Amino acid sequence: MGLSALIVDITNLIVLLFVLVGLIRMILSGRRSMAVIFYAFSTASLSFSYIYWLIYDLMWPEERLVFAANEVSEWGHFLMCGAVLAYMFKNITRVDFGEICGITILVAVNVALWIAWSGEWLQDIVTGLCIAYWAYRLAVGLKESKSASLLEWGGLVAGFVITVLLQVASFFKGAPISALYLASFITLAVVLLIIHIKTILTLVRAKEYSDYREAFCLALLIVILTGSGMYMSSEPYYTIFLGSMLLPYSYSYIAMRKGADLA
Amino acid sequence: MIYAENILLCIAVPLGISLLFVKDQVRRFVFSFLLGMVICLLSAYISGYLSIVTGYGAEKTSIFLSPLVEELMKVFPLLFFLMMFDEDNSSIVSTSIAIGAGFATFENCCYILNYGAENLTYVIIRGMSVGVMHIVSIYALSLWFILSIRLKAFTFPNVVGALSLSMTFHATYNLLVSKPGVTSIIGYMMPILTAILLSVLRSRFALTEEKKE
Repeated sequence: MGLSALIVDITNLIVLLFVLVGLIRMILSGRRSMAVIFYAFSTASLSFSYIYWLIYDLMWPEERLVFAANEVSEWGHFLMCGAVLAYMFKNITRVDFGEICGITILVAVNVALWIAWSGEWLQDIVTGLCIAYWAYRLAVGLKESKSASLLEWGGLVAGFVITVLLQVASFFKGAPISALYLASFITLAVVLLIIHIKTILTLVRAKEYSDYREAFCLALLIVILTGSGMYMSSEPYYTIFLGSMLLPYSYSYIAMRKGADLA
Repeated sequence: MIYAENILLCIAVPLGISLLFVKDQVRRFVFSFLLGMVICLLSAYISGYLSIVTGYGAEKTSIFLSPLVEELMKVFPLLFFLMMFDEDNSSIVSTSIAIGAGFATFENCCYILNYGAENLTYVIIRGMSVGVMHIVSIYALSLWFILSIRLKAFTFPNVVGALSLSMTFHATYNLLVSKPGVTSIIGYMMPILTAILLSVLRSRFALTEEKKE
């Protein structure tokens, strides 16, 4: 692991541990809705993933195994995030096949690209399934909380599709790989920047529980998109995406903490 | 080279016979203990298979892959128990602890027969770390399951999410003790510290007490 990635990993871990301690304090002080408990568990899973990875890299730097246990922890994180959203929107029982199909296609394309890059087909398929569950719950939540207009939804999907297509193009023989990677990074970065601004504005203007819930959904959307960006990037883009992860963790914690008082 | 199946038979037969003479909670505990030992053997088979398939070798498999296999195998009987029987919380907890204790006991037996028991300090450390680790991880899972059932949220993502946490916890322990030094001391302390923490949590939230109607 390079020094920059190590610093970013440690910074993210510290932020996650702060979030975890904050959530545990909420639980101990009696503000323990199921969403808070699940989110604490989800954060604990992700924290353990970082801890495992740091110890692994410290103790076995020369060893690169096909499968590391922290991947299991990440799956747990994805599923538990889905469980938080499932609880937050538990009154929504409808099943929208359009959403399911859309998410399945997007995740399947991502998984195919991950397999093409890494060759770790089993882990990538399981990761994809876990993310698909989370993404479906997130889509339901975003739609229910009316987080985005039709135009914004279109922009989000278009931005993500362009990013994926640019990545696919990089596999063709003779393709200008560096330029394609840069273009894909810029496209996703612009999409993410817009969502960051929207999330901050939603948090600042929030007055009711539903507003904080919306901000929480937007924060998780940033996590998913940044994660996708991470998985499809090499250095230095990987470290940039990884480093920016601490922002959505912070947004989601603020939204969860303030929202719990109003729930 | 040890003959794990023979060791299992030797330990299991008296316990199996004792099942004829005990009832209710004691019978369940002894049966779950036996089950824990059988699962330990099955986990060893699977880990051995993975060792060959991945080419990791015995040492790396036990550090990196065995925790995942062991935690997965331990949770199966507990899930079966939860789904098949509508039992009270204390039964769920005692079943999980018996599975963990059986697993740890059989693993320690095989370890001692393989490597000897001359070094008393190391044997005690092993008992206090690996022995406690198997109990703590499945005990924590059982508490989570009880909480999920109480909150009507006993769903697949919750079960897998919690299982993944126990797997990584166990894997982190194995990683820490894989090399001598400060890291191994931290690793050996992890299970017992977690046991204390869980005990505090249990009494703080009265997790295993039955809900009053």
